[in-house]
Amino acid sequence: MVSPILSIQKISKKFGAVIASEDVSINLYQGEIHGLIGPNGAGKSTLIKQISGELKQDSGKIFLGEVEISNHPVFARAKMGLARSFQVSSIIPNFTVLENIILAIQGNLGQTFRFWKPVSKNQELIDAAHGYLDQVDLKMRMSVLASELSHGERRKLEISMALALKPKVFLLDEPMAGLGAAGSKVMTKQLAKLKSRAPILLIEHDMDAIFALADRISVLVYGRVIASGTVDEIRSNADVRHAYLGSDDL
Amino acid sequence: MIKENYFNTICIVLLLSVPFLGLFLDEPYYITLATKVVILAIAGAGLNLVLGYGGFVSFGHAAFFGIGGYVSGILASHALNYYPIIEWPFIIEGTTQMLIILPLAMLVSGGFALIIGMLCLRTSGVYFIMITLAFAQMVYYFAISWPAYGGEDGLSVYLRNNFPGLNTMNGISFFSICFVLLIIVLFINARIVNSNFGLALQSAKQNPERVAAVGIEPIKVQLIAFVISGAITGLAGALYTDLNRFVSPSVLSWHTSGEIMVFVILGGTARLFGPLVGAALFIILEQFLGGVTENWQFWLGFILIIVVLFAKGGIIGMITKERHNG
Amino acid sequence: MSAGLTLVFGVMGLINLAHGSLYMIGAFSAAAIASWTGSFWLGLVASLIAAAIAGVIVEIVIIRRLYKRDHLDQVLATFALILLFSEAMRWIFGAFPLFLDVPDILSGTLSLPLGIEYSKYRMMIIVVGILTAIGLFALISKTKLGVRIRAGESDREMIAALGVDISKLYTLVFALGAALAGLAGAMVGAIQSVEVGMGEPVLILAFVVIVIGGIGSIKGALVGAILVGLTDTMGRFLLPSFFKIFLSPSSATDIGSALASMMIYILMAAVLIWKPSGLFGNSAK
Repeated sequence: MVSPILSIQKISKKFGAVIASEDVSINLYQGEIHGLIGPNGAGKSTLIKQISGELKQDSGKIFLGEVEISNHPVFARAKMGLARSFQVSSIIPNFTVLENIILAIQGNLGQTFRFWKPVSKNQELIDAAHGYLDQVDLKMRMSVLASELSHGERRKLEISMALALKPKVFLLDEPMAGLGAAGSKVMTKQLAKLKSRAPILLIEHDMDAIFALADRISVLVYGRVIASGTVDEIRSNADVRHAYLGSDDL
Repeated sequence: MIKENYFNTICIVLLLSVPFLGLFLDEPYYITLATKVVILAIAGAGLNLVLGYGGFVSFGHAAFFGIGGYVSGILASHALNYYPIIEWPFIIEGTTQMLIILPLAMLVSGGFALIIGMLCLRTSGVYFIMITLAFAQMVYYFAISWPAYGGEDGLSVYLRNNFPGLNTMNGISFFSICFVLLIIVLFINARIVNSNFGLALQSAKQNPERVAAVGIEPIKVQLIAFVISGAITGLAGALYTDLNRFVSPSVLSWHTSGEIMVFVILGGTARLFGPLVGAALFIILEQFLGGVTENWQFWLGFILIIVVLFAKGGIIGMITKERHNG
Repeated sequence: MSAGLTLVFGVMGLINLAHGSLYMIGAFSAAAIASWTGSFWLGLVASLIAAAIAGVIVEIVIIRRLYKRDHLDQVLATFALILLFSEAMRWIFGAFPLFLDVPDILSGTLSLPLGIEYSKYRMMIIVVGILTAIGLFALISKTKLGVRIRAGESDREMIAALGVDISKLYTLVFALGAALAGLAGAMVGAIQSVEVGMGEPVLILAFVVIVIGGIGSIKGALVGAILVGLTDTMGRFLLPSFFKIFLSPSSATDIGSALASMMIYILMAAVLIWKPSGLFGNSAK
């Protein structure tokens, strides 16, 4: 039995009387895209935050490979290879695209505590940055301030930063959000390429994308996983149809 | 709009001209003024690292200024009075050697910054401002009530500290020492800001969440910046005691913290020469406005409000080209 | 003082360093009017009005522009205001302190049980303090204004969207805070001298109080104020005695009083370390 790259075991979290996550277990294996879908308010964001470390689960464990990361802070998990992209693009606005990527690279390499050499003269970092920007087709915009990027370009920047973390796992929170039809197509192709690097836990509302990309899907409703299986299994699952009554076309 | 580098060079030239003018006109007061500007600029440069580039508002930097000042005062007064600081378990005597006092002042204030930083950086926003203020107040009240070093009356040191090869009682010599130190501090600041560390620090100011998401611990970066900042401000404090040959708890008051913040803001936060311009402006206002009216602080307040409301980038922001960092 | 400060911060998210100046304005107005008319009570009323007016003017001219700015800007601008007010007072009233006399009804002491003689005037201050606390609780929990204030604390944008006139509300809240500060200043003016700079030490204490209590919480301000007052007084009283147990009397007094003056800050640091948002604060702020 191949062991999972990311293993979430019986995660539960309550906010007062509101159950955000209840006994959620998901395993992510090498080479796959695992989609996470569910109606609004199902607790997808809360779950992602517990996986990334921004929120602490009430009970349950999280493993990255063999290592338990349940109590690790956000930056430690990122350093270990958990690469996250945010629902609302999170970039450093007053720095250029190039500088944003360099930040990610330096974070991954642990080179933050260097005080002397100017970043702009660090050829090694710059070359590596060029490489990552190439992969998402953002190289020609590298001197632009991140705040001046279009929405789609910011998404690409986030993916690029995720790549720079040499990730073992990608945690992507609605990467299609706000992209038009053309943008979504490009992103879909991008994500398909990413799969070979590291498995992806993909949260999305865009059903076309999910069914096109995902190998397996878990459906989250009111904090519980009500179904988990292949694309066809989920498509034909009565509970899932019921949960999505009228809101999305399966 | 002129380029920042040209502006900076002009600043240096102007600054240097003042003491020489003083020499020429036989007005030693000008030299003292210029030295004061330089020292306050160093203090501001320390604060600028955390306030301007790091983006966290420390209202307690007077603590580091004062600690540095007292280290210098205490060491010197013990030496001048020929009596050791501690006799057990081994004798530690005072010293008047600048080369020992200055690094020691930096070490002690940096050390305090480490402790205070570790406690304060868990908070953020207004709580951070308040807790830094609280620690500064603690040190202030401690200095007032500790009688051994003068308490509220302060501590006098009748001679300047020694620097090999120079007569530090001579205004120009002392000025030169301070000036060289300022240039070194600014140079170090520039290197730090442009380095990997500086990138992380300024990124943490804009988006700490993203910084954590790339594997960097924002608090650690901020703590280190805070320590360096404290050490630099401590250096300024030690020099200040030397300049005035006097130190008193007033250097620890929150008014002082506020004033240091004013230098940084007036000059322009996150600008290398901001603290220098700000300190110069402050001293100029103090001298010239102060000569005209006793209520000059009123006008200082007025100018400050105008700057805060309408000229966010400070003087440098108004005069030079936009820079995108920080 | 703390209630006013926490109200302004809680509702408008504004740090106002000039709160101490409003206290000073209240004290000066009370002293001036009292000596002019001979009546302490008129002086008190004057302090409320003067401070409130000063508050309204400042709010409209300057504070308004600060709501959207970050805390640093607010700190600096209100610090500048302190300079402005202090110098203005010095200019109007000169550099010498003014005096406010305790009215005859309240001079002398009251005999309390257990044989304690307590100053009548200070008793009044306590009573006013309690009445203010009750009044504020009633205002916040029972009136329509109170509801708007509480709503404003939790979601500023929402209540604006719901049609509540935000700027009037803010001005009102600010004026209320200012009036409270002025009242405090006036009352203290009779037991200490009225001079420029009297507001700042109290301001810092008020900040310590609201940080301990949790910014934005009136309840927190009350609890914080009591805690701070107790700690400070007990500290000054108990600590030197405590140290006398094992140190020489002079060292004990030295260390004891040094530590006592630091006590409230140590308390604040301890509270923040344990609860980074204060005892009753919500960490959203």
